[in-house]
Amino acid sequence: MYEQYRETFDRIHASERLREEVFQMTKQERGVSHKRRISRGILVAAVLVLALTGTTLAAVGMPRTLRDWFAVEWQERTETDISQEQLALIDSLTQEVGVSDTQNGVTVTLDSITVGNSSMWMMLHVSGAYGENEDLRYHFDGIDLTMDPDPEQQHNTPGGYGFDYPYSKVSSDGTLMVLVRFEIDLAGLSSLTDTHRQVTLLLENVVCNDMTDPEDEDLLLTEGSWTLQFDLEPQALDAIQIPGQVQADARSTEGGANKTVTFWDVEITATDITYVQSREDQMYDVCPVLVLEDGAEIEVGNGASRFRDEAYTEWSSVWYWPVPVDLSQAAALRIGETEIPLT
Amino acid sequence: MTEREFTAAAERHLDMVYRIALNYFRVPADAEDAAQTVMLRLWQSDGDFADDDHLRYWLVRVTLNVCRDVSRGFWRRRTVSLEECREPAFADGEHQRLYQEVMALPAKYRLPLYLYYYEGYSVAEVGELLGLKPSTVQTRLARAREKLRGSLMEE
Repeated sequence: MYEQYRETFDRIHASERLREEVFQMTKQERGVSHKRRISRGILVAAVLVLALTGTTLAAVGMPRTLRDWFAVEWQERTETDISQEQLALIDSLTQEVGVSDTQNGVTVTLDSITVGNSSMWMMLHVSGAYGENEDLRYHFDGIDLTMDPDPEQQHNTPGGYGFDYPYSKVSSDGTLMVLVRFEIDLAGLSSLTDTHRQVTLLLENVVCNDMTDPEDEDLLLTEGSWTLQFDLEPQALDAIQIPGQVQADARSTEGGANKTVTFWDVEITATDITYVQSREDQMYDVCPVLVLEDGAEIEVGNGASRFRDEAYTEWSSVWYWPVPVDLSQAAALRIGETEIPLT
Repeated sequence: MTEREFTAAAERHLDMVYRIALNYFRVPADAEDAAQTVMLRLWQSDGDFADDDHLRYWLVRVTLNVCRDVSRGFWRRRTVSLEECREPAFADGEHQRLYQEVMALPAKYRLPLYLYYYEGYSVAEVGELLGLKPSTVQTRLARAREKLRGSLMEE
């Protein structure tokens, strides 16, 4: 079959029309129109300022809000349009924040957040002077988040947290939108939303990368240190708990053979799934999939693991859904090849 | 990048860029639009590539970025003409059928399948290119193979 697959794609070529257009490109001037390209070979110490008034960019129509971004992301991942039920769930988890900090002429505003059991999406708007290019991926060189009270304060084993940048784009008015997702491994023992917390988000230096070479270094655009504080209010979140144990075929993370592994304390929320396996099985991994009533499937994104007991016998894993999921639409959970109905 | 270097790069890699975009969009017209954008970016780039593998990796990465950005943009057309939908024609029914079955798979399976089995990237490299963990890539490859075997055996 694989030989046939290769032979099939051997027979697929760009059209003559496309070839001709591509080879004609060398006849065009190489200059930029409204886009300025930043060369990797040049270290930019100064901040680049673009006058965007009157310029229409391809970024018009790009999502500016969390809701819009989730709708686009849902479509891309499931190849279906997001339903009203899913949007209602997202709305229930999302709150406007609107806190800002200005340093060196650049203002960073936390526009809104979507909060789940152990993760939080934060839509940041950056306005001021910086370079713009649709090929670039923007992020902050330094980022940290603390909470009071700390959701890990009752944990007695080492855990961790991290940040992801699912989206960054410059809108038509020159505002840079940066979506950050904060993910913390709470081993199913606590939740971001189980009590009121004061959150402090620390951001340093706006940088960019054209993401075309794994060894590319980030380019510093703006130096600065921004501090944003906001409150997380407690909120009861729906969860589905799978009773008893689940056995599933798991893949070895060390390249060995698969193994049937037993999982327990499997709990699904709108934004993550957690489960526990024995210490002996910690090198075996599965990629849970949520199957919805309409047949769409949600695969997990990032994940993390830690021991949840002081005796170091229970290996807890958390996987984050890439978008919040309305659990009333969930029909089944697939772990390895084992499918568990959720009705 | 000189005109000569660009022309040579296009000769070698345009089909690859087009095939990746076709696996992403399924619609030849959308794939051609994306491929044209990618090659324009190559022409406008500094062209500072260490070797052909580096250039190829750059093209794969930019093609995936362009496809992703185009599919997210609200400007993207939602309806296409029948002419634009027309799939490639094959001289024999076997390859035609396999193509149809591959294109019937969701994009999340088509892309790892193409990058792994046709372009020869490793699981880790496919994961880097698609922003996926290696275990996710392996799972998707396995599911794609299952679905293809199942569809092709139904005859």
